[in-house]
Amino acid sequence: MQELQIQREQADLPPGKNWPCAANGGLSRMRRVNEPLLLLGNGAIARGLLESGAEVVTAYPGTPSTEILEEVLRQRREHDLDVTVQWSVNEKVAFDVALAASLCGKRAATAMKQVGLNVASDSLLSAAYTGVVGGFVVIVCDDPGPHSSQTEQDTRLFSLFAKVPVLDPSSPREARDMVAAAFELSERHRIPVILRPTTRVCHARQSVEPRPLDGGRRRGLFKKDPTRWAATPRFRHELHGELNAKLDAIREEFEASPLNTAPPNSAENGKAKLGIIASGHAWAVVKDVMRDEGLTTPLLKVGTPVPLPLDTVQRFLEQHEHVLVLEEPDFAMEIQIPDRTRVQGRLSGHVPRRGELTPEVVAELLGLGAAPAPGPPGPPPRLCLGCGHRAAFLALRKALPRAIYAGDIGCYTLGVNQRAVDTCLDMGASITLAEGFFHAHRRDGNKMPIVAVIGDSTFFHAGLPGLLNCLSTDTRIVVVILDNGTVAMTGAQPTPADSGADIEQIVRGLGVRFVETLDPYAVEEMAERVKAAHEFARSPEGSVAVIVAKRPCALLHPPIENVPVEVIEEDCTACDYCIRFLACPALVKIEATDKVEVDTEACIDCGLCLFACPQGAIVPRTDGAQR
Amino acid sequence: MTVLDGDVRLVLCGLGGQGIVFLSRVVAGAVLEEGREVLVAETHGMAQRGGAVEAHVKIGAFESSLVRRGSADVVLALDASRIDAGRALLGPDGVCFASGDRDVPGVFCYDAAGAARSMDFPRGANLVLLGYAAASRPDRLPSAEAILQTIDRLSPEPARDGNRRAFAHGAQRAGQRDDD
Repeated sequence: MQELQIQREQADLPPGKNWPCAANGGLSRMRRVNEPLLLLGNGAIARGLLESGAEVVTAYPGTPSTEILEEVLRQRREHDLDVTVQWSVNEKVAFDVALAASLCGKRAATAMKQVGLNVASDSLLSAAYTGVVGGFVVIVCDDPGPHSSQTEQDTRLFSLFAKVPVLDPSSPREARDMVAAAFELSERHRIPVILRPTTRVCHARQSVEPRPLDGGRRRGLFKKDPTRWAATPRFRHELHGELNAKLDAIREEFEASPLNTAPPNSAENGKAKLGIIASGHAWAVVKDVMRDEGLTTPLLKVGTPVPLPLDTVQRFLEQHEHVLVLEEPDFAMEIQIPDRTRVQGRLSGHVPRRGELTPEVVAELLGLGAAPAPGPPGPPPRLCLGCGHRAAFLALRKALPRAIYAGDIGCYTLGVNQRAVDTCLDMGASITLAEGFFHAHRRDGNKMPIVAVIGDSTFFHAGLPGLLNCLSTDTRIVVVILDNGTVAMTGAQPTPADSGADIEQIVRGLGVRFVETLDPYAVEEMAERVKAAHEFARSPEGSVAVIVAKRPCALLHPPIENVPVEVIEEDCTACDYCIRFLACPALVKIEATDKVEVDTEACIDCGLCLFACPQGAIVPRTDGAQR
Repeated sequence: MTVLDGDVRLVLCGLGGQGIVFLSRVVAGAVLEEGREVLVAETHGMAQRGGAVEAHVKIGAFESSLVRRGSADVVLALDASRIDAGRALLGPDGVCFASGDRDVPGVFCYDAAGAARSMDFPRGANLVLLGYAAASRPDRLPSAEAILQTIDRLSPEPARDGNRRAFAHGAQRAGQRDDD
């Protein structure tokens, strides 16, 4: 254990910038010198950014990346640092804002989840050609599983396509160290560098020895160079050659990088039977399984999967009869190996071609037998008690029960539980798919009602262009914007509305003529206005119509309604309407009678279910009980 | 007196909203107080909306935070509905503590939720169960002193006293069980 010496001098000084363990405001408790910090992987990345002197950090929230910027904000506050930090409106915006700081010579970083890189990809591919000036680190968090994403895409494969290098950490500690390495690499070769942690690194917690925070500034000045920063195709051809040369140099450097650790040559007495190449968290898993089982299989750890250090890999291959490649979520290292005759991985089919490399999967791959059967799955996630989205979906079902409901990305994807979300493609696709559904049905003279349902933050992120398109293509749909004032799914990050953006004004400004803002808890009124919106949209002089269902997130502002309810048992016909279309966790089936009752312990008395019983069997409690 | 020693693989399981992530941070912080290495796997995102939540805590020189099924030394199930899920992770010599008032063979059941309610601090069920487990197996979990210190450090002010009392209550009940 480390020294317990207390650096008393610091306690008397105001919070400063270059202290390894700067006083957190009032110094509530004496802290040891270099006392290890128990950090989430994303917190360790944030610490790495601040230790490396990042001056501009941007992000759009998305699991598993969200806590990176949250931790930058928290640590900036704790250590009173001067860093420009922003929640951007989407990942492309975040990327460009940070990139420009780098073009001025400052160290900058942007963080996003893997599908966020799809949104920022246009910028990434172009920036690889132009290069950067100050260190520029793009942190992209992959989600093998997937746990909280629509794809298991591999950012390392994306990086091969974009021609940028990737560092792949196996633990929070290594993630922090790799941030520093990424900045140095980026500055040395003037190229964007991707740090690619996976969910198990982002959301692992580990002690990290703090290093001094770098509060130093690099002078920012944009030096004009149109042949680079405004390069036309002729110059782009040159820049492509330059990029190829950079990658060759980086690969050469990676051959000797301490981020890759090869075991001592085990082939002195002829070839060993099996060797393993692993990167990222897959390396951590195989290391632990081998430790548990006392295995000593030669293991090459790769921290730099793109570009793959081919000489190092080739030497390792030559020392073994077979080599197992363990990587997540896809086959980015394996596909770079020129001769794969002795290689067994996801590409060859020896390793499962989807899903996480959990300890159970890896143990089975190492011939240790199958793990015991997993326990039963948990209950499916549901909208919170008192959530305004639940009310809005109920109103939609009442207003237009036959409609196609095009959904979007956020908590409200859980509207599937209420049969009020029929599609979930990607950010903003509620409006664009709804437009496509409209045109496809109109061709056949089918007047099917079509509703797009999108959250406020998702509307700002990617909904605006789709809505504008509806106006310019005479698309007669209803767009419902669920406005809870925050990015709720990822833990309540701010939206542009916090800086004054007004959704109704924006929508009117685009040219939408039917816009109404209402509280979804007024279920009957909302149902009636949704019907009116649909009628307006389909009327001869109509156009796209917008309803803004506005109610603050129940996690931040629980409903103020106080209406204790009960189910009149003899009136309940077990029709299940409330179960199917309200999906409230506090309304439960009685096994013996198949009827419904209120779970009074769970119920928060919001009274929403009064609107969810066609028989009127759910009524306010008459015993006068109040919370 | 027995103290925490050797490698330990601990799993905390339950449902979103039961304070599992907080509990894992308390255990990890206490392990660190005792000068041991620790790795925690947390659940974030969609599952936190009422779905199943699991935290893994590995004490020792491990590289990955994930506990392999069939190798956990200690499982704490905060919800009776997750006992079977937790037991699937348990190793041959592992021990499972669960919050619940029914008897499950091979599981130490204690109505932590009921105890927390009777203390007028229902949110403290997580710490009641930890207190019960830590006092029952001091060789597998950090000391009460280290845990209480960490509770003080991590609890938001309004919950600090309740959290301390909840932990102490669970620990005391485990002592009574041994005396039976």
